[in-house]
Formats: sequence, C-alpha cells, structure tokens
Amino acid sequence: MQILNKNTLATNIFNQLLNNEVYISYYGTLDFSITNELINNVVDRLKKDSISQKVFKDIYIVFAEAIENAYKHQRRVKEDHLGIVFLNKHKNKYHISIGNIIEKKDRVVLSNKLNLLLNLSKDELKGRIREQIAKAHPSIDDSASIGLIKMILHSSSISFSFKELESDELLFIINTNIDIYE
Amino acid sequence: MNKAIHIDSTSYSPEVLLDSQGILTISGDSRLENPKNFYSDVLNKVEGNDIKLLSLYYEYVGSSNILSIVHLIHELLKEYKDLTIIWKHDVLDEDIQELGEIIKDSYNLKMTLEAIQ
Repeated sequence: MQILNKNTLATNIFNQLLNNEVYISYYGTLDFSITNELINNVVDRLKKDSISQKVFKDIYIVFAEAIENAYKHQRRVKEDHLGIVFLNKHKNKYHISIGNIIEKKDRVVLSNKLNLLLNLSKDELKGRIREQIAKAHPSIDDSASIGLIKMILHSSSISFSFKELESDELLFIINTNIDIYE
Repeated sequence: MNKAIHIDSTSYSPEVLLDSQGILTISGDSRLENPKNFYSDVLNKVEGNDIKLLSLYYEYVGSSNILSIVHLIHELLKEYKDLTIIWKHDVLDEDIQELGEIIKDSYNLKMTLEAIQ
C-alpha cells in the first residue's frame, strides 16, 4: 500500500478532479457548521441541473448521510477533524467521495461491516433498517448502520477504500455513483 | 385555550407550529446535530397545551434523527391518549413514505400515512 503524505494526497485529489465537472471539492476540517454549509451548497448547485426529483433526492440522501457519517466517526487528528468531500459530475453520473481519518485497528471491523451490507439485496437492506429502528432505544445513537444502508440503497454503485497516511492512520473513503438516467 | 407556538425552520431543522386548535405541525428537513435536544425542547414548549393532532410532514430525515422523532411521538402519546397522528409525504417520496411505514409498524402506532400531490 502506498503511504501518502498530505501534499501527495492533495495532488492526487486534484488530478482526479481535472476531467470532471466539480460541484464540491473540500479538504480540511469537518464540523457540523461546515458539513451543513457543504450540503446547502450541493442543494443550490443541483437546483440548477435538469434532473428528476428522484435523482435529486438520491444525491441529497447519499451526500448528507455520507458527510454526517464522516463527521461523526472521524478520528480527531490534532486540533482538526480532517475530511475530504467531493461531488463531481462526469457524463451521466454524479460521483460522491467522502473520506475521514480512522485508526488502523478499525479497518477490519469497518471492512467486514461494509462487505456484509454490500452483499445484501435491496429487500434485505430495507429489512435491516426496520430491525435497527424497531430494536433501537432513543437514548442510544446507533444510526451509523442505517446511514450506510441508506447510502447503498440510493446509490447506483458504491465502493470503499483505505489509504495509508504517513501519520500511521488510515484515510477511509466511500465512493458512490448515482446515475442520472434510471 | 392553546398557546400558539412557532419555531422557524432552518436548512437542517424543521418548522414547528402549534395552533390554537391543538394541531401540532412539524415540517421540513430534520438533520440536526443534536436531535434529542431539539425534540425535547419541542416537548417542553408544547407542555400544558391540549394537542389533538400531530401532523408530520418531513422532506428529509437524517438517520441519526429518526429515533428522536420516534421518542417525540411516544412522549406525546403518553400525554395525549387520543392523539391523531398523520405522517405526510410527497407522493413521489418513497424514502419518507417507507420511513413512516417502518415507524408505524415497528411501534404499532395508530398513524395515518397521507401522500401529498
């Protein structure tokens, strides 16, 4: 695995974006105020596109759930909550990539959880949401799984990756595509 | 006599309106950072009023906000046994429709789902 420093990471990100129509590109601190601002920017930008209400809602749900997931589960890196957020349009797809720092020890658990969910059918995923809501207690915030399931249900395709950072931590990135014509 | 209550919506929080007829309407997006605080505040504000109808018309509910809404419904039902609950959704919004169905079924609620054109 290639080990990245922050400059290399930023350059890689920039290169990936060159051939796309960039709607949102953000690299830095993630807090509630910033995530809210990014979501509002996405909404404003999408309103200018000629897309169906369904595609609009799919993008909104995936983006909002992914960015909340990153914000809530990122590992504190010094004073910063470091995250990356992209929304691009390429041909007939919207592409969302959202990443946050995690500890290396969390990789296996996270991979297993995601691989399990990615192998479930649409009905099975909806069943999981039902189970989570029915068994949950309001005092316990166990919404991460529901957020991941909603992202899978509203994406045309979804994948995830880990990039090793020189700080001996991992950058966990979720990549999703949403087709414009469905 | 009910005291009219109004909380303005934001891009991440719903509008809350209690009118003099006892109709409590909550509408808009709910993707709050602290949903428990928000909905507890709603409960505190409406306390002492005679609420007959709870009308929920969400456009988006973040996954971390769902259980706080369920909690709000439960707390209101404890206080108002004959409360009528309507879960509204845009006719094309399957996500909000399904969320309403899940909440209704999971907690065996007497809640009516209503599609809005």
